[in-house]
Amino acid sequence: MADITQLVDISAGQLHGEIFTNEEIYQQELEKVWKRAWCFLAHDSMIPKKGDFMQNYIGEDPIMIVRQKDGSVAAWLNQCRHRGMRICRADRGTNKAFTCTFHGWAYDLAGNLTMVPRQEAAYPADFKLEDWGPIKVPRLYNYKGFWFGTWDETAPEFEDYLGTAKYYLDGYLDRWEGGMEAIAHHRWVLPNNWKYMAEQPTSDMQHSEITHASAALMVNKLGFWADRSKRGDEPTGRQFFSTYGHGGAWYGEKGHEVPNTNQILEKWEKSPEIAAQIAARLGDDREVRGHLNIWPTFMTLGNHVLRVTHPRGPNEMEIWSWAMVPAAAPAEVKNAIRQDLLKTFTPTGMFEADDALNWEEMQHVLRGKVAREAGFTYQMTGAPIQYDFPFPNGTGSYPGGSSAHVFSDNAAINMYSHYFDMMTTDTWDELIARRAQHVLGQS
Amino acid sequence: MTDNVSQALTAVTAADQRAIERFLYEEVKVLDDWEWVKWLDFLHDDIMYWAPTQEDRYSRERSKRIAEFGTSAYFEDNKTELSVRVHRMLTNQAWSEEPPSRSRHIITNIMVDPGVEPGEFKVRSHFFDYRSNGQRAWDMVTGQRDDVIVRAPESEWGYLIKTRRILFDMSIILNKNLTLFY
Ligand code: FES
Ligand SMILES: [Fe+2]
Repeated sequence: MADITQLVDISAGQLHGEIFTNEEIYQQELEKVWKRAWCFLAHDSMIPKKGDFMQNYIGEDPIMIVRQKDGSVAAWLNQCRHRGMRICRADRGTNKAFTCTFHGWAYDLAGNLTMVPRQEAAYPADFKLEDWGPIKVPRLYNYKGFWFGTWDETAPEFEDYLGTAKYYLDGYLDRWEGGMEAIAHHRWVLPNNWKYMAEQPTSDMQHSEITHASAALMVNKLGFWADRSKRGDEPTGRQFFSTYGHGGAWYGEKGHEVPNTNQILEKWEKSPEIAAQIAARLGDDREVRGHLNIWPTFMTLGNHVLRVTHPRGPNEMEIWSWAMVPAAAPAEVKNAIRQDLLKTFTPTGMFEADDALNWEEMQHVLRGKVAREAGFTYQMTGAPIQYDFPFPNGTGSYPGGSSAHVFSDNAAINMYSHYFDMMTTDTWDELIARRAQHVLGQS
Repeated sequence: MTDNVSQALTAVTAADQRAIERFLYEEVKVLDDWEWVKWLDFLHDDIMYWAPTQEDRYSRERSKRIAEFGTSAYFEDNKTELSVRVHRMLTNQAWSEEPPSRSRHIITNIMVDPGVEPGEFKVRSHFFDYRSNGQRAWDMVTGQRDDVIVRAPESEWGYLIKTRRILFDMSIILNKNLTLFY
């Protein structure tokens, strides 16, 4: 097992480059992080009808997510138990059953093996179909239409895993009656370690000022996009972090937030009927939309792009991204959200393109021995950490830990602290105990 | 009875075919020469520049392979939006293209057919676009373009692209980004 204790120094805010390049550490991540975390699999709107299926991944493991005849959802490893062929090679669709194209083993929607060719003639009498179905994802949870799964039977309940992040996540995806729906989908490959991207919506709002300077200069010309000039020359805001590595941030002080939602959505949300609906659902005047990541890589932005990144070795990752819209919104609102995303956060996106360049160069530079030893540093810790910080208007408080500025490395430090604890513990019990000791700003 | 090739060759004059080929070469020349603002002169004011995504489907659902208009796309841009993309490149802060990629657009298999209106042409072409940027990064993308090109004698280049559908030959895009024009 790789020893990362010398590579992650949380109190000094220092990471050794090896954790982004080392194959042995990567293999340990597949074991310790990806086999133990809750991961996003699908949204109800992606597989609405019985027999609807889609592929996704938990880490490097291919998963089939299938709507069952009774309306429930099953998720199973997309690997034939016979000789390991990918059972389904369509990205999505509708089906009654699946047949492996190597030797013809057949599976039902739930992933049960139903037929093996030549069973009678060539297999022994005690061969049992029920012993040889694909591995099922043992735990699934439907959080407000979003399906999550984990391999780990001992992981905490999903909502306990979210912890205080639930308050902030709901501010993105539980605003509207009728929930959300996915209306566009993009996938692409980037030549860098997956943690660069996880870190960004968790914690790094400040890069936007420089990395995305050109896009920010142009966006107001298109009228309907988020008006980034409202952030002002001296932006304010807040950043939260949560026990199991989640984090996020938004611009503006309480009551004067500047969400990066497009203006057509904003206008619709301000109509009296919808505004009342949002307030009733959330139970407070919640506006926390900037960026957010639920560890490991379930991320969203205020423009309602939603994505997961899948690790592909230490030096590569895939982005699987969807445009999520309020299902009950008028077509004009849905289309504005979709159009915004197409032009910002896709392979052709004017924001996304420049992130890709940073990450590619960082990964290349880490080939250097001295560069790896120098690693990365997280010193932007000037904003004070506050717990359950009360709103100035006295109507409530921000749950859990948060920092009093939109620009802070605190949530990244918390994320890597959780990463370190995951990588160096064997059970969730141990991990929970460790996280209780590692409370940012208090230990 | 006339064979398909003879029919195609009589439907469009050799002069039109030659002119449109030259037009398409001139278009990618300004792109490879980093003269992006000039590229806008090749585009009709009402252009729809569309690049749908594609994915793998079982054979009986193959018609859903290419995303419908108004759903998943890499481009679904009108001229204003394309002009925003172009002007972003000119800020010198569009870091993924600063310094710009060394790009080479190779346009082949140009097939010109008559359009619906007089002076309108349906043009299919294939592309092989290579680029390198920085010290070591390089990638390429192939695909097909289905254009409607109209004769516009008063325009800079004599023709204008009215619609373009670009189909990249990938499901998951295997390149870090798609920052060229195609
Ligand atoms: S590998 Fe699937 S049937 Fe043999
Ligand atoms: Fe970014």
